[in-house]
This record gives sequence, structure tokens and C-alpha cells, in this order.
Amino acid sequence: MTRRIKLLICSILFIINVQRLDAVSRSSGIGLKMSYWNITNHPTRIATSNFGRHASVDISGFGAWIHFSSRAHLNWFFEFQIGAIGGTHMAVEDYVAGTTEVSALVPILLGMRYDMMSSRIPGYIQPYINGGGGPYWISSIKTRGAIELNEQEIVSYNQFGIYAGGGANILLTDWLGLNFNITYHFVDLKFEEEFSGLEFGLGLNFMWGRRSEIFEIKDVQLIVSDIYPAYYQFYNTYPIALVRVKNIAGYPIEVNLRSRLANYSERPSISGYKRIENGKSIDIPVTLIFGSMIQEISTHESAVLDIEVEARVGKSHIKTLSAPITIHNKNAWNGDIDKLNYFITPDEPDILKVSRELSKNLNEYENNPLLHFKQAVYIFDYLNSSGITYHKDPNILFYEDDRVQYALETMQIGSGDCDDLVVLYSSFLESLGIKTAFVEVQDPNKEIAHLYLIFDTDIQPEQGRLISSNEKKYIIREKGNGVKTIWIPLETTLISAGFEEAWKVGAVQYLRDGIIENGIRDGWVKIIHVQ
Amino acid sequence: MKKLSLFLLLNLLFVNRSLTAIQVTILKINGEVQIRKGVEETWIRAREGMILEDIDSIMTGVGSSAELSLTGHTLFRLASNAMLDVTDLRDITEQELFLYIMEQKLKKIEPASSKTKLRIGNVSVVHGESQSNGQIDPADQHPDFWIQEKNGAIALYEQDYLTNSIVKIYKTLEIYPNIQDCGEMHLYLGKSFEALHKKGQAIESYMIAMQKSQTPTCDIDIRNVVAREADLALKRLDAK
Repeated sequence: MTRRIKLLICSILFIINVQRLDAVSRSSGIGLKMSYWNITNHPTRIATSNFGRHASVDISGFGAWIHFSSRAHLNWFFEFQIGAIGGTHMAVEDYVAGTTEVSALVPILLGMRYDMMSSRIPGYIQPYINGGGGPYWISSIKTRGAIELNEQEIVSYNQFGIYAGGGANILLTDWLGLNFNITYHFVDLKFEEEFSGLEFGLGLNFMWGRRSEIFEIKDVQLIVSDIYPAYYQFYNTYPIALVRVKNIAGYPIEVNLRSRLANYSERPSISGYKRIENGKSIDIPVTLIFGSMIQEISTHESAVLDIEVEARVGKSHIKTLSAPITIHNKNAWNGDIDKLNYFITPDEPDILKVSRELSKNLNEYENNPLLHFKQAVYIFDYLNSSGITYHKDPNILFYEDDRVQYALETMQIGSGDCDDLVVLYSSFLESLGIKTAFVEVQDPNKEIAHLYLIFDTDIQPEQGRLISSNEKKYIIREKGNGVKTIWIPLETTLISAGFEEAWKVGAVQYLRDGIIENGIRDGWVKIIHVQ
Repeated sequence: MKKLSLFLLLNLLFVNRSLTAIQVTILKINGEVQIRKGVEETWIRAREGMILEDIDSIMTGVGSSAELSLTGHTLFRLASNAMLDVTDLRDITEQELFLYIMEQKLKKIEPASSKTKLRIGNVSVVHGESQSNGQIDPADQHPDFWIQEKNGAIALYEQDYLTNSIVKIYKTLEIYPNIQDCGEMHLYLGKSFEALHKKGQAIESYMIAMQKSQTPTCDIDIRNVVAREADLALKRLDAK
């Protein structure tokens, strides 16, 4: 009873252990095995008759093999094996006369092995089929003798043959497997040849090297090598990189991708399992999830993007890769005009508080089409009276990016360049519900681009003369619902010169660059709505 | 090869910017003629020999006229009660006109970016619309300004600035979308398109002119002229 329990526990432990093993064959292996192969065409036996006057001993064929294998491609392996099989037949008659036949067979074989379902089976059994060929060295010694007579015949020759069979490796550990096989040897390429026959083998296989792969990472295309904290939310959906994964398993697999930026991602971004058909490749986008700590970076830093690709077939197969990434400081801007939106902070409590306090002074315009226009003038005058002025960006050594201040920072510092002042004024206007847009001028004849603002007065074109008799001072733009309204261009760097002057300069710029010089049509004057 | 062809086509379409710059000299003044510099609010009396820049404007009073020299040689006559921006006289090729019209049509299409743009949260409808704003007070409207713009467009048409005339009419209609012109502007739009052999756009414009001429508040004389001319044009273009 106790012995049975021990056996049961051992069996369970064995199964648990081998279930953890990865059945994917490693790249190389060497094995030793014992085999049974009837090369004498006699069954193995000891026989006597007539009270011992006649006796015979037959050993039909036993031997040993040593074999070596190495991966050729995927689940295909080259194999080389050399064996030594011996068999004998001894017979004695009348106690004195007898014959002895000893046969020896030494096959030196080269072949191929194919591991079937190597990566689909999560457990320990690794079946395979194999085949090949090579020389079979055959040696036979026949002795016939009596008291005075003794004859001996020695025959030795080579014959070419082939073999085919199959077997399985039962993995005991990560590097050791129990191997058994059944192989049919066609010596002299004949089924009926004297030495042709089935061979049964049992042995141990020692393995090392890499496992076969079920997927390949064909390409990693880094789309974003620079992270700008100001628009960190953008990277939640916009791919940082594309990883091309190819299925080489021989059957469909599912692949999941996890990515994170060391020290800056609160948790990994997960692509979800994606099915890849056999032999096909797919591009999996790499996204990142950032925590709020990224917005506290004051100088640019280096970080490592870690990507983990996991294929789920029975057990997980994981590959990891990494790429260096630069994280810029919280005020950095790469110059993409559509990203400037991320610096606008209309819901910043201090901005909301100031703009709404100022707006209270315009209650008389509550039901007047001039409300937005008057609010814009009021805010501009407030910024003017706060002493906000234009000032160029600082020179930061060995650093090329543009620098944009958030509205509150500009209020605290008291100055900024064109993008800082556009962000400042836009934040205030947007906090009052006034739509704004950036006008970016990248005149091909000038080295530095310029930026100013337009805002929606919500005044309809027919009412344009309420604010100006010169229609060249404003722009008519159509909203999504088809309603046209008047937008006013403002040169925000002229905060200190007052609203009227900033408007005039903005209008002339728009007219000259955008219309007369065809900047809008040719694309070097761009209008980007703050949304 | 395709890319090269596209590049050459774009180069042909978008002529060098310096070629589009224009300078206007006032040669002769008859009656009350005023000019406005750039984006200034006030009009000032014009004098013969004055040079206008490309952002300036010129306006003639009722019964007045002006003769202009464009970039030193071409003569242009601005008739009574008309207004013209110097930019209205710049070279506009048919391809540029086509692009302009396409741009006007594209403006009516909601940009796709608003649908694909990153949004925080999942708000189906944004609430908070005010009920107070948006209505036009009739007192704020100035129905007469468009007449000068229209007369400027007619002057352009009559002196074979066909593409310029079309652009000016479109711009005027953009600023004054609800004017009661009895279809006169669309009639000239149709005439300009017809002269440019743009049959489809001409027929479309004439039809709108015909429709607008039926407005009950229209002056009977203008109504008859517009309706008759539009009808004849539609017959001429086999649209009836």
C-alpha cells in the first residue's frame, strides 16, 4: 500500500515537472541508445533436446547507438548516427560437433528528422519521424568444428542502405529526454535482404542550444524616437513603433505585444492577442501609457522602450527587444502646429477664474452679437496691463527644440515668444468658450516660422460692419454646421501695443501672406483649429 | 513618372508668387472717387497719379468713374458706384479659379479630423448652447454695401476679367449671403462662366438667377431683365 502511494506521488511529481517543460526541441542533441534488431533471422533463445546431445543458443541481434542531431530549419534536423549490432547462433551436436555463426553490423547513417507538432504540445512528448541512409558494414564469422575438424569462414563487406522510421522524445528535464524509436532498415535497398529488418531502440537524449521559433520579429520601425511630455496623451493611441511579426510555426498563432517605457510608464500598454495565419506577417503598433510623472521633467532625458512580444501556442513564447528614446522636457515642442493644442489650458483653474472675473464686466453685452469680440478685447487689454511682453526663447546649449510656455508660466514670467503668447491668449479665450485657431506662416523665403492667432467672434458676415467697415480686417470661416462667422486675426506678439494695432498687423499679415501671396493655397500658411 | 508629372502640373498651376504682385495707378478721376489703404477703416479722396498697393481698395461714388493703369500698361475703367480691391485685379488663371471653387465646396464638408482626433472621455453631445446670441438685428445690416461690390464685379466682367469677376461675386455672396439682388449676381456669374465655356456651372448659375428673380420684393424692371437674360441664356445653352 505504501509503495503504491509513493509510486502515485512520484508519478504526479513527474507529470507536473514535465508539464512545465517546453516541448520545443532545442537546436542540438546527442544520444545513446540500446536497440534490438534481428540480424540473424533466428529468434533469441536457448534450446536443448535429446537429453543434452543437441543444444543451440541464438541471440538474434542487440546493439548500441550513438546519435547526434542539429537543427537545419525550424523543425527539421540533420542527424548522424552510428551503431554496432551483433547477433550469434551457436549449435552443438553429440557433445562434440558444433557450429558458431557471429554476425556484426555497423551502420553509419546520415539523415533528417522532422519534429511533429513541436510547439503545439505544451507537455513533454515530442514525436518525430526520420529517414536517411548510408553504408552498412557487415561482418560474418562462421565456425564449424569437431574433435579433429575445424573450419572457419570470415566474410566482411559493405552495403548501402536506407532507413525510415519514427519515435518520440519524452522530455525529462530541459536538457534530457528519454528516446524510443522504431526504424526499418533497407540494407542493400531491399526489403527481403538478409539483414533488412525492424530495429527497436530505447535510450537517452541530451539536448542543448536554442529552441525552435514559432515567430520571427522581421522589422521594428521606430516612428517616434522623441517623446514630448506636453502631449503625452497623444501617445496612448498613436503608435511609437511598428513591430512586424511573422508566423513561422506552420499553423495560425496568436501574438500579444506589451510595451512600456522604463520609469515613465505606470503600466504596460497591451496590444491584445492578434491572430497571424501561417507564413503571414502583421504589423503590431506599439503604444505607451504614461503616468503624470512625465509632466514633471525639466530637462531632456534618455529612456528605454521595452517591448515584449508573446506568442500563445500551448505555452508562451516570448521575445523581448528595446530601443532608446529621448524624453524632452515638459515645455518642449517639436514644431508640429497641430500639437500646439496640447499646451492650451482653458480649464486651468487660475485661467478660468481670471477670465470669468473679467467677463463679469461685460454683462451689458450678454445678448449682443459683439459679446465674444468685446470679451477678446477685454482679455487682450488685461494681458497688456499685466505687462506681458514679447521675448525670444532662451538659447539652450546642444538643444534644438522649440520651447512653449503654458499660459500660467507666461503670466508668472511676464513674457514669451510668439508661440507662448498665442498659447496664453488662446487659453484665455477658449476658457470663455471663444473658438481660436493658430495661423502658422512658414514662408519659404524666411528661415524662421511665425505664429499668430485668429478667433471666432461669432458675428455673422452681414454684421461685419459692427466691428469694422473694412472687410479685409476679418476672415469669414464656415463652421461644421454651415454657419459662417467672422474670425479676427491678431498678432499676439504685439500685446504691449494694444488690441487695435495687433488686429491691424494680424489682418495685413493674413491678407498679404495668406491671400495675395497665395500662402493658404500653396500650403505655407496653415490654419489649425484649437480643439 | 507619375510623381514627376504631378510635380510639373503643380508648378504650372502655382505660378511664382512674385508674378502675382500688382500695382495700380489712378490715371483719371471723374466725380467722387475714394481710396482706402490696407486695413484702415477710413476712405480718403483719391488723386490722379496715386499708386495703389496690392492690399488697397478704390471706390467710386454714384455718377463717378475712374480709369486705372494696371502694372503700367493695361487700362481698367471703374464705373459708377463700384468698389474694387486691388487684389481683385490680380491674375487668376482658370486652374486657380477651379481650385478656388473646389475650396469653397470643400469648406462645406466637415473635416474628418474632428472624428479621428483624440478625445478625453466619451461625450456624445456637448451641452451649454446659449439661446441669446446669433439673431441678426435688421439695424445691423447694411444692405447697400454689396451694390458697390456687385458693380465692381460687373466692371471686371465687362472688361474681360472673367475669372476675377467670378471670384469677386463668390466673395461678395460669402459676406452678404442673404442679399435681395433679384438674381443679378448669379446672372453675371453665369455670363462669366459661359464666356469661359464652363457650360455646367453657367447653367447652374442662370437657373439660380431665374429662381431669385421671382422673389416678390424684387424691383419689376430688374426682375424682368434678369429673367429675360437668364431665360435666353438657358435656351442658348440647350438647358431648356
